[in-house]
Amino acid sequence: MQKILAMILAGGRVDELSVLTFYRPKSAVPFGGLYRVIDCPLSNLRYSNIENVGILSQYRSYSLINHIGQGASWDMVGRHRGVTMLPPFQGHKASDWYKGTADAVFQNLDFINYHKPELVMVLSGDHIYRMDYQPMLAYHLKKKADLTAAFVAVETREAPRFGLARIADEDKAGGKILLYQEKPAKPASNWASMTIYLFRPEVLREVLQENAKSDSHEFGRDIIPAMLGRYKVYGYKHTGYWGYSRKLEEYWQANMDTLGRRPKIVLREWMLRTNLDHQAIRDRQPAVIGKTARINNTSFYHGCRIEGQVENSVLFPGVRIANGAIVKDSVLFFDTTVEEGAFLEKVISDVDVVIGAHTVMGKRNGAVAPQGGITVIGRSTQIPAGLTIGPGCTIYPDLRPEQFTKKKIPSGEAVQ
Amino acid sequence: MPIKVLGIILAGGLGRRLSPLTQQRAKPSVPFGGKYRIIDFVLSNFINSEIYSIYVLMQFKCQSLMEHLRDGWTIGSTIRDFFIMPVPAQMRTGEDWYRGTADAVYQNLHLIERTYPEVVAIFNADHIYRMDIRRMLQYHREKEAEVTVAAIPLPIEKSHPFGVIQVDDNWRIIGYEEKPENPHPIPGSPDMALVSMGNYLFNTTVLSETLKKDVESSGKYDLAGEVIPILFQKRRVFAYDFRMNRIPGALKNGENSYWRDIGTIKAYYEANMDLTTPVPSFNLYNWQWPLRTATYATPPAKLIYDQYGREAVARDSLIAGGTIISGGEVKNSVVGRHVFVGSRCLIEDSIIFDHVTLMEDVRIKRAIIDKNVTLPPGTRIGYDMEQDRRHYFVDPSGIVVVPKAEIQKCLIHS
Repeated sequence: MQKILAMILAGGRVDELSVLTFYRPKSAVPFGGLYRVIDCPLSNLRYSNIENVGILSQYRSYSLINHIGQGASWDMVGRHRGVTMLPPFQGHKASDWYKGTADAVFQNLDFINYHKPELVMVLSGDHIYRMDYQPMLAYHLKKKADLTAAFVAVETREAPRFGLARIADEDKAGGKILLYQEKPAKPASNWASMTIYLFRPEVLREVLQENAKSDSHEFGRDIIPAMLGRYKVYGYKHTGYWGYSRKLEEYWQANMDTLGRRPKIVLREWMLRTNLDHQAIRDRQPAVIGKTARINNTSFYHGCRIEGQVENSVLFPGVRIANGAIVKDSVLFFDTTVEEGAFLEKVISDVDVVIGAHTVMGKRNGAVAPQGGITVIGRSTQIPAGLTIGPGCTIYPDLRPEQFTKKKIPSGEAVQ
Repeated sequence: MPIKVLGIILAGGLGRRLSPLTQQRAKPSVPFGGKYRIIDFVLSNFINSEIYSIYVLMQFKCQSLMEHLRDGWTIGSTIRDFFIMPVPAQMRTGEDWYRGTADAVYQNLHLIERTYPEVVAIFNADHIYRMDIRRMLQYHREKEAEVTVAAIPLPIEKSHPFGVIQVDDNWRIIGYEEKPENPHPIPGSPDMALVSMGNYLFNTTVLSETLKKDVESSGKYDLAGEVIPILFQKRRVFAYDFRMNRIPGALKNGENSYWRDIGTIKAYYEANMDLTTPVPSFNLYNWQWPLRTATYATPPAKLIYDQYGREAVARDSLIAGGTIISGGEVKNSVVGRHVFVGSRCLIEDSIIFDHVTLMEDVRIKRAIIDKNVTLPPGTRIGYDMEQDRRHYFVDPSGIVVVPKAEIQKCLIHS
């Protein structure tokens, strides 16, 4: 078997996810009632038997470092396996903060050299999907490619948001990349890059060294186009669920996709691994369902205490919903408390948020509201009792009840 | 100065009265409360009391117990004094298995003498309770005791099935009777008797001298019944009143004194049901005194509509991860991991272990369904005792037990 080193790009913040990425990079954002986004690529790597991983972190990496630990949750601790956090460092000449995805890998070429892999996999830590990387690997070897990138079909109207490739119709799995466009206004294809690249290490070194001289350092925008015509660059077509989730609505939708009778994301089959020590998941008791609880199409976990009404929602460990409270279409992170008689519709609340009694949030009455009508609340904020907060609002982290001066917050406003 | 304490957990009991739950596993590894095993209580007590050197003595059907220890209780890797180590019977002292609790410890005296702690804490693995062992140790020192036995005062009429301790005004032990007809009351409380919890602190020298004499020379193999009853005549043996114990973060409703011997199906069932009451008499979730166990990355639990659009219902219940209730109803029950409850099911007052599948229209009342069981559509349990007796195990208390899938097959074919 080939010796493969995986480099996960996990440092990005992703502005569109609003206050959820205030204290953590996108890769460390909670997902699916238990997990973090990066659990997807890490579990995929585990199940694909790729056991040497470097994680390129950058933005507020504490949450990520805390989550990864030694990598034991993904069984990546051993003599010939391991997870290494690779934060940016001060370079010899100046402060060389990672200047792009390609630069992040370039700055860690010595780490790659040290491992002497036969193949280097560079992949994003920001996406929600399940994939066996082995067939892609086999394809890369079969084609004797210098670079193989994975693509997934997206809807044509969404295509301009992605890196797109026109792939030669060589076989079912893919073919040579004929054309690559990064976020084009007029897409030439709807095969979107999943940001999963397999490189021959010599080639990776060559192209990164060459790219270092220029002033833009992205794999999609710079590296792939520069390689076309000069190297053997292949596109590998993946089918299956792929959650890009760079917008609040998409992120919300990915969570909703774990619900329903026939969910698009079947967590029971994905069997994602996660760090059970993070947020003390391990020590929480089974969920307590009270006498007055009414729960519909909702997932919940250990440590939850539910006495109110919940519908179409994802509740992370430790969420408490008091008697008389109503929660609909919401995603509530670890230890969110919804007090008596509160009403929540399409709310995403971060860790340790408290929503005071009889506060009404996000009631739409069918009206159209900004950010898809989603109201998002930042970490540890305590919303006082008796407020009315319109749909599509953004509530910043760490607010105390006395910092809310208005009784009514209209749709689309931000409170900070 | 910290006392150096070695923990020894007696986990070798057969647990016959808990059969058929103990047909394939030792009593300490019987599941409890949706995601725990009985042994988690004593282990959590040790760890939360900062006792990190622990031997778990086991012999019968200990595979499941060893796997549980591996999955949930592997501690320390570099510091030699941090360990939770299973010790199966090894016939070191002759061709005998552990012939009793005293013999089990005697056969492993070398483990004690190797580390030479100041005090050896010998605890059983069969009870549901929480205890800060540091407080008992403090008491042990204050009394200048050589042996201290943890004891809980119970109303006299409820004390018959247990070992009853007789103490003087100073709580020094002056008598002990196993399952007495007329239990001695506690001095000053004529309606109460002092019941041994089977948890002991021994000064190490006293322990090794006593066992060498009693087990080796006199063939006394039982700690509670044979060793302790003579020990107090010569040694300073005290009883520790469990009601004095306080754990941090306990509820104010007398949770501190919660102790259940779950030796019978009925007692086991009732202790589980205690968890489903609105204000549970026993809170499993206390940040300051966590109950630890083996945890797996099971996905979240879900309540979903079934194919006919029927809502799922759950009430007054404890539900663990991975469980899916699809258009069924669960009331006043404890449900483990990866359980599937199908359309039109009705589960009442029951305990469901991990990986149980209940297909359409299954109705269960006052029953315990062991691991891996699949009940076909239309199954009724707990409605017709005559019929239940033919297919399953029915306890004298009327609680029906459906044994583990593997055992059930044997049962039906025999």
